[in-house]
Amino acid sequence: MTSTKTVTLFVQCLVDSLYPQVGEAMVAIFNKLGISMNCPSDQTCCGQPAFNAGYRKAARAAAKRFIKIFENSESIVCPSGSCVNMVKNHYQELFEDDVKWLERAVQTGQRTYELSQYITDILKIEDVGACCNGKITYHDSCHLLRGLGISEQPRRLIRNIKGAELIEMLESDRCCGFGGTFSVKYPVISTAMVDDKVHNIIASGADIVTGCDISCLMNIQGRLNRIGSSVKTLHIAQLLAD
Amino acid sequence: MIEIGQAEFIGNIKKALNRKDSCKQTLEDIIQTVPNSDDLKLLEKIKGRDNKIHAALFNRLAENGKSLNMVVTMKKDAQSAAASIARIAAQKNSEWGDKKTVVAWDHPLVRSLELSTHLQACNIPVHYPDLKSGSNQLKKFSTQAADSFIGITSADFCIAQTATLTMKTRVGQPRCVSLLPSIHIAVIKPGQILSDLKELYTLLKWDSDEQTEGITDCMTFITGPSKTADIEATLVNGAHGPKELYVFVLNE
Amino acid sequence: MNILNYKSEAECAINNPVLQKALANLQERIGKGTAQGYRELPEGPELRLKAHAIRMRSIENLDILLIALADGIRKNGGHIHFAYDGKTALKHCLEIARKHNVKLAVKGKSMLTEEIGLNHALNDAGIETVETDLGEYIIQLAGEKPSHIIAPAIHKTKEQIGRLFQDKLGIAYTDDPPALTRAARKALREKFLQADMGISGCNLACAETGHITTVSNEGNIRMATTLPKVHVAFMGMERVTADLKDHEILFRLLAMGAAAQKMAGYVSYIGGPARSGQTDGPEAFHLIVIDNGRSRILADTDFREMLCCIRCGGCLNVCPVYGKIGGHSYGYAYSGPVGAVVNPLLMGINRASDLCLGESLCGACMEACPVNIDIPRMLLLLRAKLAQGDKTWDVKVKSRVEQVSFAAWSCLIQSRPLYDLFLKTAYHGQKLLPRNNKMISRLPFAGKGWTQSRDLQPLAEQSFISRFKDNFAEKQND
Ligand code: SF4
Repeated sequence: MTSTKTVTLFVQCLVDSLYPQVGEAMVAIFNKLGISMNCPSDQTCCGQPAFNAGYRKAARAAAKRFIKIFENSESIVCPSGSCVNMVKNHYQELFEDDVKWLERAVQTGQRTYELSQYITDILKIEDVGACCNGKITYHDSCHLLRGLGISEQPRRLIRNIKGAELIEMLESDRCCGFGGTFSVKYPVISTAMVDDKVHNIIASGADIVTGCDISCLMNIQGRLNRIGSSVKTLHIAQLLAD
Repeated sequence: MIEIGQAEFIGNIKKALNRKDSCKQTLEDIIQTVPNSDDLKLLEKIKGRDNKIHAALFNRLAENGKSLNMVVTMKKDAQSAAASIARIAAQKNSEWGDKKTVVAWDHPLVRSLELSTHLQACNIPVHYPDLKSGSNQLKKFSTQAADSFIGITSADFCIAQTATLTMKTRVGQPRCVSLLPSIHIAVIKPGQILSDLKELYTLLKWDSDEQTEGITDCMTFITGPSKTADIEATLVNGAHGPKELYVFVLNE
Repeated sequence: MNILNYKSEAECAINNPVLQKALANLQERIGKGTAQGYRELPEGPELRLKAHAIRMRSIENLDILLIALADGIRKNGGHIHFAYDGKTALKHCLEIARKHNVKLAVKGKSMLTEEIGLNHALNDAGIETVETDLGEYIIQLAGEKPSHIIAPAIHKTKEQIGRLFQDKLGIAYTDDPPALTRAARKALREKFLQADMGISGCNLACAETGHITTVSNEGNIRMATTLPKVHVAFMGMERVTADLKDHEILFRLLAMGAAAQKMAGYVSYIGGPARSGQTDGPEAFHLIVIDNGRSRILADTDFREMLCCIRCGGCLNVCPVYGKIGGHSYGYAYSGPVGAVVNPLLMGINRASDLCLGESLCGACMEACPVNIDIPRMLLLLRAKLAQGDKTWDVKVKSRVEQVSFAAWSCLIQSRPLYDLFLKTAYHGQKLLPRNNKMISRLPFAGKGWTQSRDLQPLAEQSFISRFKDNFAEKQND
């Protein structure tokens, strides 16, 4: 498979620092698909943590930096729904009163894609030739689902993994309770929510829980590990890379 | 406590909306005041319905009533509707008074059932609001309604899609008849069945008779018998209003 | 400064298995039913956008609509009063009660009267005031506060209600819901027939015709507005729409949002007192229109959208946070997502700061909202005010420490070398932290909350960016 397309990797800060293997999986997928990549080495964070906590000035500064780094890229691909949602939707809110930057934000947002969305909707590939033996359940991350309207794309990709079986958990579209600083500021509520999620994951009988956003998966994995569950947590990129 | 009158209250709102003092808009400027072609077409469509369409609407209404515990049946004439009412009256027990009594609207369709005659056999009196009497007599009717176990009304319309009866308040057609008795029976004609709420609201807004009469001091929509699910989400019919609701459609 | 006990109330709720079951059951039935109902609409869920536009247009013409409504009500023989704050509204109501020598008042469910504390004021004036919605009645007998806009007593079991009724109504103990409903039906019917005043809220008024509307499934509001000699209705000033055309769409959606119904059991348009020759209906009709902080919301275009709310409670039935913590945690008349925005705006953003911060921003509320209100957007704006302070809303900065932390973070992410240095230091620092199965099991400082119940993936030795530089970039250049 060859393509003339080049993608620019937009790496969520959590992937960059905590889960580099997810980034590497994304690289492996694009290599497999014959797509060339570049990855701006000065990128840091899109500003979402500050935006969600109310620090709009800091978020705006991060957004400007992001735009400057990425605005000349043809396709910007990120393995995280909430970061894409930040760039595509919230940047516009940040620059409501700044026409020039708003325009640049819109332009950049239009070329920013979530990984599974990019593979299915833009590359029109539904089978990336991955194998994985096991029962997989998929968690719909909130911003991916409601902000970007992505739910079928990752499922199609998972169904086409050789040896894998996609099992739907109950309420896959219910929030896992992460919510950024919410999980730290209101741990009791957040835990009650992730407990429901973990309960549904275990009840589904799956061996692996996956999703398109490492933030939610980090939350789910953290709870699964604490209760000593054997269910593995993997980002969808990790499943598709093998 | 900050006491202000209407002018000041509205002035505050104007300020919040950043309205210029020169703005002289009134309601007429912001609502539709003449029917558009869609409205007219719909009015035409409602008026032009034949028996076959009415029968289809009836079927939909009866079907949609089921899940609401609202019994909708076709009766071939006033006689047979009255006979059904008499049967219900004979079978059911009185909930509030120790004597069985029935209250009914003073309405041509209800009068045509000749209920007094039909209910005589089981010795059940039927009370109608006494229009000629003074206000004391009028008040007495509410007490009679509170003691009755069946209330019989007609309706203005009945909407098939939602199984909703609609009724305005008019002299001789008190609100309490559809409210206080344990069982409410409404008698209508097939032509009163509408397809959906859109038809209803189009009629209310644009039909000239409806316009002239207005909404009255109280217009009520009734969808199924009274219900509650406030105790552990268990559905119970008859929270405060009627426990049972029947609609008889007189096909004559 | 925060007067709410959001965290402790939430914890209480989470540790109450009965409440947890009831909340789950409610969300399962109604939340899912509503979503299904929207999909089955002939116009689909998109109809909600149209409803949003209708409501927005009403709000933006509120001055015109209220004048028209007032004219209409007066023409129909009713009285209309305008109250800038809750206290004035109470004063109007008490004056009416005094004039008509009211001893007993029956009430339909109204969150607005909860907001202004009406029951208290009436009781203080020696007027017995009976809530007649079954759920509200149970709550009133138990001396508690409602925990859901539409289902106020969902936190109580049938056994608890059985004992309550045994105690307060003197009936033999039963935990059979129909039998309990019958007992309340009987007790309340007496009250309806004796009451001199009926009190209701108003769901949506119609400016064109000069009517308010009331909605219920039980029929209690019809009772309260038909039998007593005086009817007093309370309306938040934003609850008026232009004409009947608007109502068709709004009522279908209201019933769907509130109870997953195609249409509510009873909807009444009330436009004034009974006319001569009628056997029932009140002799006097009063409408009290209340501002109580709403014009301030109206003036701020960021939050104006919140006034579109028709208080259906739909957002409560899907919110994963509400589904855990229940209604009492919100500490005010309104709970759930709607409360998380409305309460801070009405009672003070600092006072209700936990409500602005205590959500996960999942966005489920917006999808469930019949008028498609963007609640997450407004929660984020409220957070911005808490983070940076705000003059118009008198908001003080919530946390200087957090402010400084984010300023530092902001510097850090502006420079990759600095950022890398930070990651490196933190990587070495984390070696001191205890582990569970390779993951960090206890974090210090602000991170404590996380490791209360969860482990954390440790920082990688080498970040992805630097790995990419080392391993892939060159390869591609080969
Ligand atoms: S915000 Fe929307 S869903 Fe929530 S109560 Fe208001 S109208 Fe209903």
